[in-house]
Amino acid sequence: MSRLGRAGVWMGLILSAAAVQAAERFPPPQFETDYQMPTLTTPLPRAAVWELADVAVLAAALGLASWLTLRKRSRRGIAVLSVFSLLYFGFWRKGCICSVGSLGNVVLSLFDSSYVLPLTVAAFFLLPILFTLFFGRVFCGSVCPLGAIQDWVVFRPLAVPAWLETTLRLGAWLYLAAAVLFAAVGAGLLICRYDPFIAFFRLGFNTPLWLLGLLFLAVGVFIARPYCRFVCPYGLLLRQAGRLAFWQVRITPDECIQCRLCEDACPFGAIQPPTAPWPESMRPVERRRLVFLFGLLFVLMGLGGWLGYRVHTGLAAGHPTVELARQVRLRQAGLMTEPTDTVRAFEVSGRTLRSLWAQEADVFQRFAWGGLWAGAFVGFVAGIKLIQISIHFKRTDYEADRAGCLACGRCFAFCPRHRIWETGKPTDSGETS
Amino acid sequence: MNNHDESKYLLPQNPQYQAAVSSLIVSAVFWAVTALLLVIQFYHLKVTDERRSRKLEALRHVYQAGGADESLAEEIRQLDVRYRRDHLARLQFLYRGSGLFVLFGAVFVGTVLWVRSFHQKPPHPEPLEDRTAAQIQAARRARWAVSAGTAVLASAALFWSFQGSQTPQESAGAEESSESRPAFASWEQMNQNWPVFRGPQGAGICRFDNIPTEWDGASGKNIRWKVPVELPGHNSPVVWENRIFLTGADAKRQEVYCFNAEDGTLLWTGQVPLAPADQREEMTIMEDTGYAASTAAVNGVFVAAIFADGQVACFDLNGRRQWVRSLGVPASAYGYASSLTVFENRLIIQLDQDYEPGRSKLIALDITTGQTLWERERPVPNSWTSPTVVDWNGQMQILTSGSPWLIAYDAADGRELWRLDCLGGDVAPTQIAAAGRIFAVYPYTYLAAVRPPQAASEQAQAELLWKAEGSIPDICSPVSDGRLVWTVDSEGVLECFDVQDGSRLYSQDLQAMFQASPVLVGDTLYLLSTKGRMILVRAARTFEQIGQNELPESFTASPAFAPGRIYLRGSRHLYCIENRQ
Repeated sequence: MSRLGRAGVWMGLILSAAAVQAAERFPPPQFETDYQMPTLTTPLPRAAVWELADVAVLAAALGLASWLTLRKRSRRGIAVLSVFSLLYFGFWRKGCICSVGSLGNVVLSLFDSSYVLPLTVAAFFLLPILFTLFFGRVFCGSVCPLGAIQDWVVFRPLAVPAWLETTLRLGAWLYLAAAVLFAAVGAGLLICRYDPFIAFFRLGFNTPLWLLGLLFLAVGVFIARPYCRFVCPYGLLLRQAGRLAFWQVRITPDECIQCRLCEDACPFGAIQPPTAPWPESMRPVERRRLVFLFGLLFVLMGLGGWLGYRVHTGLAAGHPTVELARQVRLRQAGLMTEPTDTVRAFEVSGRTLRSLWAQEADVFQRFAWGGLWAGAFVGFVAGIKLIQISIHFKRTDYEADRAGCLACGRCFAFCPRHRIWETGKPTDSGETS
Repeated sequence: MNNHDESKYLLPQNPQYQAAVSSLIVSAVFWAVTALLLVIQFYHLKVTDERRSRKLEALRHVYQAGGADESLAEEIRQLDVRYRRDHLARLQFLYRGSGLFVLFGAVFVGTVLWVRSFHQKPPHPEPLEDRTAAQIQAARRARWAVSAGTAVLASAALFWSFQGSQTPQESAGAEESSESRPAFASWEQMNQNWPVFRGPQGAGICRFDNIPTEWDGASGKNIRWKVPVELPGHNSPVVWENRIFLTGADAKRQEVYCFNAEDGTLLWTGQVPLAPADQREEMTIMEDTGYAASTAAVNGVFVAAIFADGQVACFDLNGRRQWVRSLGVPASAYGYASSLTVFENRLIIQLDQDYEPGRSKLIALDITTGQTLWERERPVPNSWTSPTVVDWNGQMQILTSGSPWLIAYDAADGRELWRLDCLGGDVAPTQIAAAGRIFAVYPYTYLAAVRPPQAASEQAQAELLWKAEGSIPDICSPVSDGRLVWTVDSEGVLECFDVQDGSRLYSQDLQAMFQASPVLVGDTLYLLSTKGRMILVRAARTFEQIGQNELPESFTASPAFAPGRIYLRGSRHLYCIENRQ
């Protein structure tokens, strides 16, 4: 079957599975029957001891991942741990709380004094960053359930050119800015709301999320871990922490012999080849370009801030207060014959329209400022990227990109030095085990 | 042939490989069957259960219509229980089935990996390329790609910012609005807002409490907010609850703006396309008139605007554009400037044009669709006055001024009710109704008091009660409290007349230039000069200035009011003035 044909089969399966739909509400009986309406109950909160257990499991998993990656250098161990993480943090704990989503809670706690950040959430946010600062992105490679579920469908990874990878990552920065903005103004936790794999973990019937998840998995067959590389906002934080890591995943356990066998080992394009010397004749041009790009950085920040301010009303439409005000306005104008639950709740709450308008105005104002900062931030990122591309770093060996390496350990088996280190004798081919 | 190729040919005989392939096929079949079953159950959930629900509903109607038929009730009970049981069973199936779907998916993935392990190739590096050239090219490509990506993001944001109305939420609102019309606020609600030029009924009377009397632009005293307005325009703000609407235009763009009354945030900008270039070439626009002199009108659901090139557009209050109409560029000596007014779902446009009577019209458009409801020819040349809708003894009338006719139309169907030959020249001040009379202005010549006919019959005649001469305005409209009527001319001469006989009670030079029309707030006249000085004058038979306040820019638009607030549109900014503690 051709590659196109296989892709067609995949898409067919995805579309058929998409039919798993949200649960329908069924009205209660209008006639008396033997049917007993179930009593509505509120599920008890998760016992604190289990929350502590979750943190302990996370810490242990991170510790084990670090050991497997840096000391044991075991791809098999990493793979087994990622299965465990998928089952425990994904299916068993229903994907919540996860470190990726905790970013929104942390931001909310910084901007909303009435929201107290649970210690568990803080631990889920901080532990992976802490471990990354010491051991690289071991969380992404072995512990993150979102990464693990994608990792198992990397069947035919295609190489994404570096220029495209860098550009597509701009989308992740934009998502990060939006997620922080929404959390900061109390409009909701975007990362959690649009977690593409939560429908799998909870076996729910949310069709859009099922579709989204299946789409990411389908793309992930050819573009390894698309969510991690081009969407995940938490991954961006870990990227930056990874740059500062004390110990980092190394392709080779000791010295690089420049055999080039690992060149195509990484499905994430995170192996960087040695650099060639930069031509002297180009240095003046490069210097002028850098000066220009530094100037452009401020222009981009200004432009981004201006655009962020301009789109703030559209963004604010996602805030529940603005939505309520819109619905109330429709209701007042006689355009909403049947009020929604929120409008009905507002109508019986005794709140005045003036207070609603004032709240709406407050939301708009917060979005205006937030949009400005978020836009400036995205402009800053774009400017920094351009500068970063124009600075040439020296490398003499094949190395794992400190920021981009997901610590999956796939490259180990490609290195003949690893084989020697592992078995004590060289093999006749660099084939994986 | 190397070892790897050999092993490839031997694979079909390898029992492990055969087991892997068999497992792959079996798991794929299981997975596909699960998916198929899920789809079937989902179909039943959506289609069969929906059909059953309708059937039950129909039976209930039969039961309710035919009296208490116990056997039918029993049948409904049985069906209800059965259908409910089936529905819940389907939900349960979907829940468990999705679990199986994930499980078989995982098994399938595992078997795919197993089969793949037999096909793995050893690494085979390509010949080494010129790294220096590759680095330079990679950096260049990356720079271009990031620049292009940034440009795409910026363009998307810019496009979105101009399509403020296009958010999903607002689209949903528009869908709701299209379902349930008519779409307009009541007359009472209109009078509680500032929906048209000079407020309710275009009278220039503010009935709101706690209107500020003191402010200062330099120190910021009582300036609640001040925001820039992107494009220029002499039109006045109109206000609906917490939203303020303005228009702005230049030779290249025409826009409608909606500001949040609480903090001045620009909520949305509505784009109005320009008239065709060949038509615009024929436009005569004086700088003093500009491209956006006409004030918009809002009816609680929609806001409409007209520009100097005859383009009319309507938006809902969330900025979603409803329609655009091209009326053709009006032939106007100084540029088109008549403001819109609105009555229920009728958008009233006074399209007076040309230098001789013959082409002028009064047009009513359905504000929800832009379709013409009625159109009346007017025997007047170009004018710059605005139509006003007044409640005249229970009949809603549209009053219009042009040279030489003061004409009243039935607001419902546009039927002409009466007319009186009492005006002339280039008429710009808008008529007002007060004390059972209409006051209209013959620029530089006289103020006319007209008594409309008491009965709306063909024989009914309007009567010219008096003409008062003096420093009669050419731009500013009059204002009256029912006992006195005031005019202010462009040179700043404020005149006060008795409504009964037109006798001039005083004439006072305010030492300022005026283009904004005066507004009466309680017993105080608010007069806004072109240099930003708001002069407050006691509304009495004798002149008494009781205050003045300064703002640091020029003003030509008449002020708008809301409870406790004044909105002023300057040449560059929109101001909100409010008493602050």
